[in-house]
Amino acid sequence: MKKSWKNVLIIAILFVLVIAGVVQLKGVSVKDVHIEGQADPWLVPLVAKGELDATTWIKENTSFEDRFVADIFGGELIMGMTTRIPIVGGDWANAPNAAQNMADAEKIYLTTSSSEASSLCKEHNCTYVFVPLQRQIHAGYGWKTIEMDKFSDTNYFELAYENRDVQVYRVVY
Amino acid sequence: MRIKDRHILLFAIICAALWYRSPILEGYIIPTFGNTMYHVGIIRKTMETMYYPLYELSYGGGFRHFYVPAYRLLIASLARTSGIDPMPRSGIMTIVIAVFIVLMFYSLAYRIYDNHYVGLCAALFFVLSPELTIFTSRALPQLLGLFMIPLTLYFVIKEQRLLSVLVAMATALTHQMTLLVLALTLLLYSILQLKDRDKFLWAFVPLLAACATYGIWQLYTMQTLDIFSISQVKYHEGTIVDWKLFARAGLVVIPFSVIGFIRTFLSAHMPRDHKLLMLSWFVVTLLLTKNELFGVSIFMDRFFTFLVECMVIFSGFGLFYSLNYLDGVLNKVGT
Repeated sequence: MKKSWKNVLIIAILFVLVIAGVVQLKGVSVKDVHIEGQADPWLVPLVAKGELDATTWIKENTSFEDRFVADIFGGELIMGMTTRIPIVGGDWANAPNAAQNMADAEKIYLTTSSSEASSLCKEHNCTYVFVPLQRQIHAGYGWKTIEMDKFSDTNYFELAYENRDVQVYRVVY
Repeated sequence: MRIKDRHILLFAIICAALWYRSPILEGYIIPTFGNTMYHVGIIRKTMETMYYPLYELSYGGGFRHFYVPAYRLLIASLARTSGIDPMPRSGIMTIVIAVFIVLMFYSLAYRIYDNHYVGLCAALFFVLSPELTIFTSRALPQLLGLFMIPLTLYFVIKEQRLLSVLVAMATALTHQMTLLVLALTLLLYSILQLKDRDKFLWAFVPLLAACATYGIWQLYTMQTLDIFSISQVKYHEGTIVDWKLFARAGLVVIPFSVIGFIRTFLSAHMPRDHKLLMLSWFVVTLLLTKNELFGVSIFMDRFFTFLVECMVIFSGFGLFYSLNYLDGVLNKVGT
């Protein structure tokens, strides 16, 4: 076979391999056929822009002694941007009651009872609750929808900060 | 230095790696899966206090750290010296370290197979592997660990004793899972080299240095050498690597890694040490990935990433061998 044809064939094979790899990596949509990329879903922000904006307020208006009820991603956002401490999120390797914290954080978000949510917050010495508005929460046991109404009971919670993506409530002690 | 074809090809592969990772810096926040912002928190705390914190911010805080500090101290010092906030700084360093990993794959594959084109093929497969892309696009200590493993093995194979010891010690302070992969690989490799005292020592001394470094660090932070009471062990954190997850190694990587694996051990020209090192790396990462078969069931999916690293080196050789074979066949067609 002529050398030029041989080179073309080898380059074509490499090209096909690269295309196949990129399709698996990034996915492809052609008309009705949609192949989801395997890497892209793992590289998303998960938290909304407003949640990130809220951390500026948190940093300026709370102290290092304040504790936050948040889900894993909200908690890690708060940790990352403000070094404040949430009840879930981060490394659970050495945490004494990690599983209990996860269960209680989830209960605080999901219960319909303001008093139950407030008691759990107080049990964990939490002073604020971080409430995402545009997404579900994940406290360790899957994605769940927040039961919002209880936070409007001013006997237990006061709205301290809000934007279109998040509300931050102060726990009434 | 004259720029050759292989330099241009390597540059193109690096550009592809950069292209895929550029969105890390385009969004309002770095990718958050895998506790990335938690690490940013410890980095920020270190910068604010100028001390590496002994106590956690996680899960209510107030208890002692488990994590090793190298990755966080690296980002903290770079953020401090550059004046860039640690969150975007982590994103920038993710891209930089990923590029270094591409170069490391090229160098290690070249060193093992003594062929630049095998290095290029390995670098290409690194870029095309979804598993390695996921774990080299997120700001995590494992990212640095994925660089440290091939770097240590490179120095071991080059028989640079001092550098292999220093890098193994740094690996011990980078990421615990990475350390386990490295320690077991070096252990198996040194056992396979028992007949040759020098080669045994070249592998065993870095192993000892890494284990001692980690032991001292854990005694300092957790005040115990017991590692079995951590939550990850207690609750068996990890996902079984089934065929679907295995495919994440890369559908183009898998067949060539099989070819590369077979041809590596059939090759008469390849040095025995190189074969033994690749065998040790592969066996250890495979056993760690399937550790549920031995009733351990911890971090199977995380160890899988290290298996894919090894597979990518094999696949580089597999592709090179296949193209060479094809070349031979086409030459015969022409005659």
